[in-house]
Amino acid sequence: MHTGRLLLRRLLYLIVQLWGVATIAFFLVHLIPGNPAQALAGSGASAQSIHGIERQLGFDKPLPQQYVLYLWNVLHGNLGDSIFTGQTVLHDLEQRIPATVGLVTAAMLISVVIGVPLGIYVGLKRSGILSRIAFVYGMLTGALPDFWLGLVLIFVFFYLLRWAPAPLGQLDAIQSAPPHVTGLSLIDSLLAGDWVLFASALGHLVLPALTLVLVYMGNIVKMARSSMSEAMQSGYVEHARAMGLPNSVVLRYAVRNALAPVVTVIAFTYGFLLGGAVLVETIFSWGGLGQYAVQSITNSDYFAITGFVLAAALFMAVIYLVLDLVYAVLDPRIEY
Amino acid sequence: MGGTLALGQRVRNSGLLRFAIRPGPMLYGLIIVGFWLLISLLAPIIAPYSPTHPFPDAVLAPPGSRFLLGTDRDGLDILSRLMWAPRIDLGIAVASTVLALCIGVPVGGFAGYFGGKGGLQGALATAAMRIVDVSQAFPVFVFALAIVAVLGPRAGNLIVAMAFVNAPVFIWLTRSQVLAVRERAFVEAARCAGNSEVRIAFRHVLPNALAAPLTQLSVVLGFSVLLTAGLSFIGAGVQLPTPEWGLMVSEGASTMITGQWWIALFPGIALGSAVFGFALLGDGLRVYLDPVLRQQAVRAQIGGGGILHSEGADPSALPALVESLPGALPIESRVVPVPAENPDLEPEPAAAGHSAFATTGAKEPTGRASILAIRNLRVDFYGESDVHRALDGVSLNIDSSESVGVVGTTGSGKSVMARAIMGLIQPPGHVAGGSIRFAGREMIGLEDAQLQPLRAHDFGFIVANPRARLNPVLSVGAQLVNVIRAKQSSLSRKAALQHALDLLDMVSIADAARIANSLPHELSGGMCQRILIAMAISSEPKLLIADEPTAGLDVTVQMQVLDLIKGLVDRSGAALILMTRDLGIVAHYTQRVVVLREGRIVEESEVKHFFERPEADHSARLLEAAFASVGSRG
Repeated sequence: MHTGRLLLRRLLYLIVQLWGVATIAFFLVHLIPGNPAQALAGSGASAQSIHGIERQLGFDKPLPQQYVLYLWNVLHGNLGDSIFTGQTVLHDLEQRIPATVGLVTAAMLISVVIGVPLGIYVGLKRSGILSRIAFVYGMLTGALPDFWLGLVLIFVFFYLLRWAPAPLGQLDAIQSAPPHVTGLSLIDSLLAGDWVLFASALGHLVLPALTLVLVYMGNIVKMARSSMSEAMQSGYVEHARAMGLPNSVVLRYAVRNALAPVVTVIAFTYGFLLGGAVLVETIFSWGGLGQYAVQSITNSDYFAITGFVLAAALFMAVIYLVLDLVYAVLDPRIEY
Repeated sequence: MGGTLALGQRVRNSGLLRFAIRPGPMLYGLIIVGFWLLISLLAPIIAPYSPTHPFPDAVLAPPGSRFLLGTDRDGLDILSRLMWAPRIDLGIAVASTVLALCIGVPVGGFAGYFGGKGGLQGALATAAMRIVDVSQAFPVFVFALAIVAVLGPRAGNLIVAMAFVNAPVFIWLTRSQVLAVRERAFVEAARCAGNSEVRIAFRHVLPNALAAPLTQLSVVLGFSVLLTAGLSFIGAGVQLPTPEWGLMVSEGASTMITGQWWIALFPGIALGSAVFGFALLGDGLRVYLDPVLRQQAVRAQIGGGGILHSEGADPSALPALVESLPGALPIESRVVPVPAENPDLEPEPAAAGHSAFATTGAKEPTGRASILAIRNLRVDFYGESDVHRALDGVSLNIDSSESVGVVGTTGSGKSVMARAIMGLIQPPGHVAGGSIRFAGREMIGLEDAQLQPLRAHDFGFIVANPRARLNPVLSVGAQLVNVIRAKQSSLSRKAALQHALDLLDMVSIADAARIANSLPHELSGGMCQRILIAMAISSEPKLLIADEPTAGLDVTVQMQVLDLIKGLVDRSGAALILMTRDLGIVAHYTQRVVVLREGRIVEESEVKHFFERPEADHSARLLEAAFASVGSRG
């Protein structure tokens, strides 16, 4: 009942949010100095054919009418055609989203599994070697350029040590992709039961995921550390100790309370990871959403750009929705 | 109020400059950022070659004597480009950050000043914050990318895009600061004096709200450098052949696979170091402006915090530790020497049997059995540049089944005393010396694990602000069960729950089952205090310590709570130490009064005697104040 109302409210908010982003995307396209129709028609196109495309896109209509038309189209999944791939933008996005979501989620899972316990430990024990390492790492992590770190990892693990496969996609060039189910080779090969392909996909995932983890796990470690040490200094932990509760119970109290802010940071980190994926995918030729965005920018592929922006907004909106639900469970004090 | 004011003054007195030259994040940050500023200034003089003039004969030359850091695919000297690059990177970052500040501060100020108010301005303020909310939910890099993609990849557009991306930070900070400042007394005074709203906003509110956005400046600058490089890396920023770090890394991206590492490596290090410098600087500024963090930073410098822990700390190491504090005064002038004899105290015959000060030697009172004996207890708290002695040679005997009131004003050391007895003093606090014997057993120096059974079985602890003492995310019943099982581990969960319900019954909670299922925030303060009392008495403790148990509760509830405590103590025969500011409570509920002042006991008397003929001046003043407040109340 309580959760249901929360879910409804958040879904409504999500729709408003997406409407806002779609509106911004619409105006972005109309801010463009060049003419999308001209770009679509190609450089050598006649005024006649440009005009035809403009009519076809509805660009000759008044702006409010275009806006309504645009929203109508977005609502029906009609995001326009990509100049570069020649496909509909929706089709392009559908093909690429799993690769990006897979990469980002893999990095996220590793960051959480390592970062949260590390941060909690360091928040508990402020001295010691591990604490020092975590402190220096926490300071450095925000300063590391992810695109550079990826290149350094490639140099060390591919060129020097030959441990990692060439940074040219999710599989080796000679391997053929598994039957398309999700679009993420790792999952698809697993579904197909092809273990050789699965091992290869896993190997290709290691370096790009590691790059993202090294750069973006810092926020999680730092937040886990500070919220844990804050919890340890709280009145309820002192009182739990005063009541003679065993250490394990005192720790459980502290960890349980320290988790809520960490969950918030995890959701924000998802957003950073999406931005990082744009750079890292380019370096590793990952073939996901990020690389698509870069391609569409280089080619002034307007509909692809707005499509990417909408997809990213949808992704983040879903993440924040999940965040709010998890937070409501973790911290029952929040009233909705 | 007084405390925060004093802290604020101390911050200003120390001075930014003196803080900055301490070895710490701020100094290192200043050095790194200063280094890159200097390099970019001197680039035309110190760069060996032109940053854009290629050497066709030396394409992809590795680092060597002619090209110290090698050349790239076009035969451009990497070192020279590296030196010219900060002009672009830092230039764009500074320009975009200033622009973001110029957008963020007025918008945030407007939203803060008019937020929640009616009319057109209030509506505009709400709308502005909604837009900020939506944009905040969007990944920053993708947001900037989209703007540059639309405007076209040029330096000017990069500045605009990043200003838009960074402005929300300043909007948020300015808004929250203005919200806090606008209700302050001096703004109210200006309003009463007939100043116009605009005048108040610009003359009084804005200057006071600017500090927070300005500290964020350095962090945003570093972030902007990273963003500039990232966007240029994928071709959405500065274009070739401009020397720019991100662009230089992208020049070396493809050759990383073929082994020419130097092209991408060096600009990446330069970029990382500059961003790191800004981050350090920002961290230093943040710490500088936050008194609490500053204290921690200074403490960390004098020994990582761990040394200061009460357990196992050698009291004799204290002077050396204090001397090592930066800018510390000689030790004599700070730590009040422990008095050989308490000058304010003139032991009074009737109470002499109970008072047992360190100076009178180890003379145990005869007659009733003493359950708690405190001798010459000293507790220190480490401040930013001084040590505050919270308890200064306190000695006290408590007999079993005796009720003792400890009175004193705020800061007199009552709570510190309560925590010292429980073994709960934690850094920055530190038990500097003395002895606490419970039933003949020395407690100072015991490990947490050794204290745990004592706390579980023999002590009861009740404190003020009960809601904050309960785990906010666990039902009070479950917490009570945990406490019971800590004392009787053999008890099953079900039996413990039954016991918990009985205890709730005992502390006069009518609807025990429903209350047990509630979370602390769903209960009133008085109800939470009853829960704490139930926890405290769950094991029939021999000593109950109640530190301001009724502070913050309304008067009728206060009496109920105190009657409850007193009744339980009387029935079980436990000793009670009741810390309070309220002399009325002492008169009603205790047999003996101990007056604490600035960490020392200034008087110790039987209750009757205390109210008839207070011995110490301070006691008389406390009594006067108490009567005056009663008089004024009606």
